[in-house]
Amino acid sequence: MAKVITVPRLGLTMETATVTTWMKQEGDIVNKGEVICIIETDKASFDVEAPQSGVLVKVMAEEGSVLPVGEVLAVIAQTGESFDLEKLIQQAKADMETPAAVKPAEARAVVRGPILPKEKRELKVSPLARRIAEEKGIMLEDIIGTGPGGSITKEDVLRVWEQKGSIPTQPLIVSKKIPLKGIRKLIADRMSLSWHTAPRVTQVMEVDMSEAIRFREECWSDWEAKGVRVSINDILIKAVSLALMENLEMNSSLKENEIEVYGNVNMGIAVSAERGLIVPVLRNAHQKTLLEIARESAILVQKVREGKIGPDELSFGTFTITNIGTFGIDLFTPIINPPESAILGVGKLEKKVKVVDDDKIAIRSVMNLCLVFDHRVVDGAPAARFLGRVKEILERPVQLKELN
Amino acid sequence: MRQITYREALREGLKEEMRRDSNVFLLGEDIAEFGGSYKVTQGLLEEFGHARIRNTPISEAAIIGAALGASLAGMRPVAELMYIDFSGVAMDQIVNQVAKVRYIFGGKAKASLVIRTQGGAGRSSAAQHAQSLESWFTHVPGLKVVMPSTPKDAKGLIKSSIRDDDPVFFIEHKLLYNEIGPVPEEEYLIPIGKADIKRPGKDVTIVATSRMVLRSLRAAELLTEEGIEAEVIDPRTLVPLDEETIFNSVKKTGKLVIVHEACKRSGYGAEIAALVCEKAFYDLDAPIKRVAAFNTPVPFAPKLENYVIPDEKAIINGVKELFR
Repeated sequence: MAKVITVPRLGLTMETATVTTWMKQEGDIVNKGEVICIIETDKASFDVEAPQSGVLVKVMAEEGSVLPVGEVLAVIAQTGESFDLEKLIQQAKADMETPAAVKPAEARAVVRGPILPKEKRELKVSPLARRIAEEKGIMLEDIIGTGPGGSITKEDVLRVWEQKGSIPTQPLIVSKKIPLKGIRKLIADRMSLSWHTAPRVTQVMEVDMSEAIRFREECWSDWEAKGVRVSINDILIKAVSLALMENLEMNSSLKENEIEVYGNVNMGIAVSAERGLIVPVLRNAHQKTLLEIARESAILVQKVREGKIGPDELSFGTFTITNIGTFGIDLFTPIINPPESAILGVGKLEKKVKVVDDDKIAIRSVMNLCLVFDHRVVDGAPAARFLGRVKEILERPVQLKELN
Repeated sequence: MRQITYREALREGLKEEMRRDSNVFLLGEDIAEFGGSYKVTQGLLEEFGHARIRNTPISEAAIIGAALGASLAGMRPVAELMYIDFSGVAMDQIVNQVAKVRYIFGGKAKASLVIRTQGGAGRSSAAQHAQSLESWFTHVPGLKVVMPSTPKDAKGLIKSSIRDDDPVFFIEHKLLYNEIGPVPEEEYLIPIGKADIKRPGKDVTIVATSRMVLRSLRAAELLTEEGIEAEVIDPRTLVPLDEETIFNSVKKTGKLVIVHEACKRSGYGAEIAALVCEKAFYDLDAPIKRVAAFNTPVPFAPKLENYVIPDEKAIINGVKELFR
């Protein structure tokens, strides 16, 4: 009789499996117990064995494809047997009780199952008691219930709480469970993607911002007359955009087998919003004057804070600046915002005693610029050149004025 | 404060509203000279005459249909159904007409009528004259359902019901008519949709309706001997229901007992229990307990009748189950 082989559930958390290798091809004769393919979950890889002898009449998944648990892998039938494939598949999906025989592939990986408590007593707990126990961090397992049907009541929990000296007995107190969805899920996925794909290098360079600050103070009244407040961040966006146009390899994305180098700078600005980290994109920053940048970035930031930012304004970034220096951070290594190739972290701006040109000691306003880049795309030397160029522009801001 | 009966309080309420608004009139079986089966309308004929105290044929469908027609023409009729058990005869008028007209005419028509009726057991009036059918009506959107337990509530609520622009199904209890209680002499109204805490307590919440409020109050007194302080809440109106008062009480006590005279299955207690589970689950320290009549027709034999209808002992046992 024809039999369908599906992706078996090999663990409580298992959702999908990747087909890594087919050991048998369509049309091959297979014996019961023979390995027909190898699948891989996030934890280990497994051999899928033929549940019966016959002909592998149908292979339903290519190597490398990711299938959900219960999806059909293949069909084994007897020579000359006719069968209704659709019906078989429906039957198999309806009947997940009979998975294909599977054993962990030896020496390939260690399988870790969920850790289950050795003995699980069924606890009767009133909803109120459960809530209070969670709030106070009391282990329900330790409590003898005195309520209806031996259930644990509020009184029981409070009694134990007092007996234990009003100290949590639970090793972990879960005060809140936040579902990983929406923007949090997006951040989680993108950050993992970046972390697991980009071999990153961090370079830190101290920049003397005294001139940039003076430049800002000098221009302040002119700018204010035009109704614009230019922040240090705006100056950074301008400086970085200029430096990127001179070092285009930093302004790029790795796509499959090629690196796309972009001729325009769409600057991502990391903004901390109530919903989480959001990166609005200031399009064509390289073509914009400092005042235009200041105006547009203020609008973008406000839109993010008010939750009114549209998907268009969050897309097509080519580089990102993230400034948490305002929180007192000296330096940090941000995660590259994929598919971009680099990100610039900005540290705290502060006054420090420095040795200046003619070996004199002076008080200067300095901060750290932390460049994190994807070494698959850019090498250390060009990245350093780029960072050095940013520093140079910021330390001689007259260049910004000319381009103002 | 002066003490009058539930019957007198209702009569006062009707009288005051009829004096206040000439659009208010009464119709029903034997309500004029005879004064109604339970004598609520006794004496009203002398003051208001046959035009406003109208006897009707023995046809519940006609009574409700006529009342609805009058209300659509701008009157505020108060129709009496002698027994709630007879509402079945008028069910199409009540469910498909009275409850619906305002909706299907897009708010352009108003069914400003009150349907007064009485239910409940305790007089050996048997299976067809002793039912508690309130949940038939709470299930129908478009009707307000009022169920007072005291003379004061009865008067204040009949007045509010007459003034309400929506149809109100007003359910009295045949054994409450002779109950005496304080009723202010000055005019007052009791809002529809506001529960009343008849007795404050901290250990368990008892939500009871109609005559069961009285029994729950007596049970609560007896429970103090066991060291249990029960809070007794009378929702007074089932639709709309004052959920807040119930939730706040459950938050305080963690335990809920619901008492009604209707049989337990699909009774209004199921609705209250479900609401508390949905919205106040984490305040519950014990399962919710319903104390209600057995799922049987009300027996004629007094002993059996008393057996199926919850009494103080049943309420006390129900409460004590939640204390192990």
